[in-house]
Amino acid sequence: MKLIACYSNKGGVGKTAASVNLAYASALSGNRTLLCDLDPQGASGFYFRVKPSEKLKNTTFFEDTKKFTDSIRESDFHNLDLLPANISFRDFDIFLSRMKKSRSRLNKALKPVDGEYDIVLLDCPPNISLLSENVFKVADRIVVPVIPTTLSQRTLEQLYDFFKKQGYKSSKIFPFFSMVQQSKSLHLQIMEEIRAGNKQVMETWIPFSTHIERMGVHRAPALAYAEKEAAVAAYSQLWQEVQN
Amino acid sequence: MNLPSPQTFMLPAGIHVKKINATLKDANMTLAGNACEPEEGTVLDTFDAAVYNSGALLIQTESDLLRLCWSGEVTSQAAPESEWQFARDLPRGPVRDQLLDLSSLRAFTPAGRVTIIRDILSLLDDEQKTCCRIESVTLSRGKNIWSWLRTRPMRGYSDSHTLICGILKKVEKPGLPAEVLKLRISDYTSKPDIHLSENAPARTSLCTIVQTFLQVTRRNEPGLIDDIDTEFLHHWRVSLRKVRSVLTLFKGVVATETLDQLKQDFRDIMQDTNLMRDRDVYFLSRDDYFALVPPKAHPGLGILFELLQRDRDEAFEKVKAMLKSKAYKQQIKSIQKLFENPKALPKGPQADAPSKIFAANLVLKRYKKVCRLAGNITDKTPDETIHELRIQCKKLRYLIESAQPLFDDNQVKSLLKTLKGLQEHLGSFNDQSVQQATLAECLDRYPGTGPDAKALAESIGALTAMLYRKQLEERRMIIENLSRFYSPDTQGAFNALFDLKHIAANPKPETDEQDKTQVDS
Repeated sequence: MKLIACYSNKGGVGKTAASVNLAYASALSGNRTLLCDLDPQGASGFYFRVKPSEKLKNTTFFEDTKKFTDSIRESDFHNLDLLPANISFRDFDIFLSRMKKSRSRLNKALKPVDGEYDIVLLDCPPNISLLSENVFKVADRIVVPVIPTTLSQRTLEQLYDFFKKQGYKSSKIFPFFSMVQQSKSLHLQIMEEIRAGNKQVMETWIPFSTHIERMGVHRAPALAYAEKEAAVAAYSQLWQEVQN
Repeated sequence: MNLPSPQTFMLPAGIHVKKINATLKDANMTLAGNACEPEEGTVLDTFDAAVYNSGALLIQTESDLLRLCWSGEVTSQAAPESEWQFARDLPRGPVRDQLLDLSSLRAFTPAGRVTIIRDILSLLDDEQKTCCRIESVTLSRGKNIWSWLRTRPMRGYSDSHTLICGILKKVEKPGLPAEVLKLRISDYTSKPDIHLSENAPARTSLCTIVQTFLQVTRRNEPGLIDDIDTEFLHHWRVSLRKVRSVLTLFKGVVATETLDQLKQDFRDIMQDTNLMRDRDVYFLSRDDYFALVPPKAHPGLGILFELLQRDRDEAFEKVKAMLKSKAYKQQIKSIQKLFENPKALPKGPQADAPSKIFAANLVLKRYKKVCRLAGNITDKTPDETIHELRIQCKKLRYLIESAQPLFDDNQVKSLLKTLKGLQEHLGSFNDQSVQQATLAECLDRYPGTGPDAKALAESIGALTAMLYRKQLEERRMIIENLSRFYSPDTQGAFNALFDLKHIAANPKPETDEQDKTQVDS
């Protein structure tokens, strides 16, 4: 079982869109895939029309393996299951801070599904928290969507600094450019700058696209309804890169 | 993962989605189907309804070949582009694999036309999320409709599965497709039930057995005349051979004069079929033969099979003419008539003996005979003695099978299993011996001296060598199986079941159940 986290400490950068489409692409390439929605807003679940997990409240996520596995829902797509979030996930840090080995709890929580899935994708909330540190520790790869703007550039640098300071492996971080508008020279310039200083940046980038924005209308991964659109097809390509 | 088991439902009607949706309304759910186009299809099966008797239907449409197992799954593969008759003719695929397991030798022929609609229904919640899928197949023939549904539960949605199963359970009306759709599914079996009474006179039991086997013979005639598959001839011959054996083995039941006449009749009827069956056996093993010899011998083998095919064609014409002749029809009908009324059958001294005691005695005597013969078999025993053992085993088998309804079914089956194991090797040993002789004969019949003759000679040489090697291996297996066959355990089992004194000392009252016991003929 490989654990891939889709993470950014900045909001609105296309994390959920990437998580949903990467999970879909993973399932399509034959992997038994679980998309684990860790964001209390539950957007991943919304895109898959899956209702919030009612039984997975408070500390049960970390402590009750039966409730954890019972909360997993089969999506409408072959090979793809989802663990939906609920609003109580916003208190994860409080629960974690009260627990022993608070930075390894996510690893323990995911143990019951080890062997059931080839890929577990974590859709993470946009903050640096105890939960994020669990993710940094347990994930095999961390894909980080970056909008090529100065602010995003700064956030990425902050992430690397945090990893360095806390002793996490920064080699796990794989940034990719998201919501790119080629008509903007600033986007192109920042992409060039970041690439020049970071060899881990993915080749594939995701253009800004209304087809992706319309995921909320279709309530399905963009790859399921607009796979031929270049911006959407980029997710498949990105998945190939992540997988390799 | 706790996923509920898929459930299957059948109903003698179409699927009324609207009606189901009315019931689902309270649960805020809907059932949605796709507007699937109906397709025309043909139901296919073998003469012995191998597919239907396995609990399935085989349907070929323009695009697919599918096997619908009504208690399980639908398996499908693309419909073959060319016409096919046998499972082996089909392109590789899951349906071909299943059919090969089910009936590798029989031809699949149409059993009726149907209109088929296949769909995957989705049970949706108020977010339009699929919570359960239901595979559906609706078959119709005229006004008759049969539907089959199988749920596909989804992880995390057990409640939805329970809900839809509850609704479908209420609309379900079990009924199998053949009766609902009035399909012409054959009721033929080469192993029909035989009902015997243990205290009935042996003559009565004999008549029942003979009549049953002769019905099998008669039912195979049309398929044999049309040359549909090799099993028609095989079953035709086996059933007649069983009749002949039972008549001989039930010694003293029929008057000697009548018995001699009948034996002559069977010889006359069957003799024309020997060559045809022999050649059929060759063709059934064609691929094995090619695999046995090196590729350079394959062209010669091709010539050999052309020769065999010619023989087969000629033999078939003879058999067909015989079966269509007035003489055969009269002869077989008069034999049937002879066994219609036991009292009219000229009787021998044992005619009135109670069936069970009479049969038990015969089986035990025959078994002892086989054991005596088997006990002397060694590595050096001549082939002839092994052939004699084969014949004796065959007689014993026919005898036990004929008398099976009179004894404990499970015990008989267990003894037959040991016997069958031995017979398989004896049969192969004999086949290889006969085939080596036929090959030598083929060589003599091909007079040419050209390259074809050389190729033929080479391939026959290679094949004969391989067959001889296989025959030696079979001899080893026969000796291995023999020790099991006359082991103290098997002897004890035979005695326990067929020992006359034992049966007389422990009489069992005749029950209905004993009368209904089936024979594995």
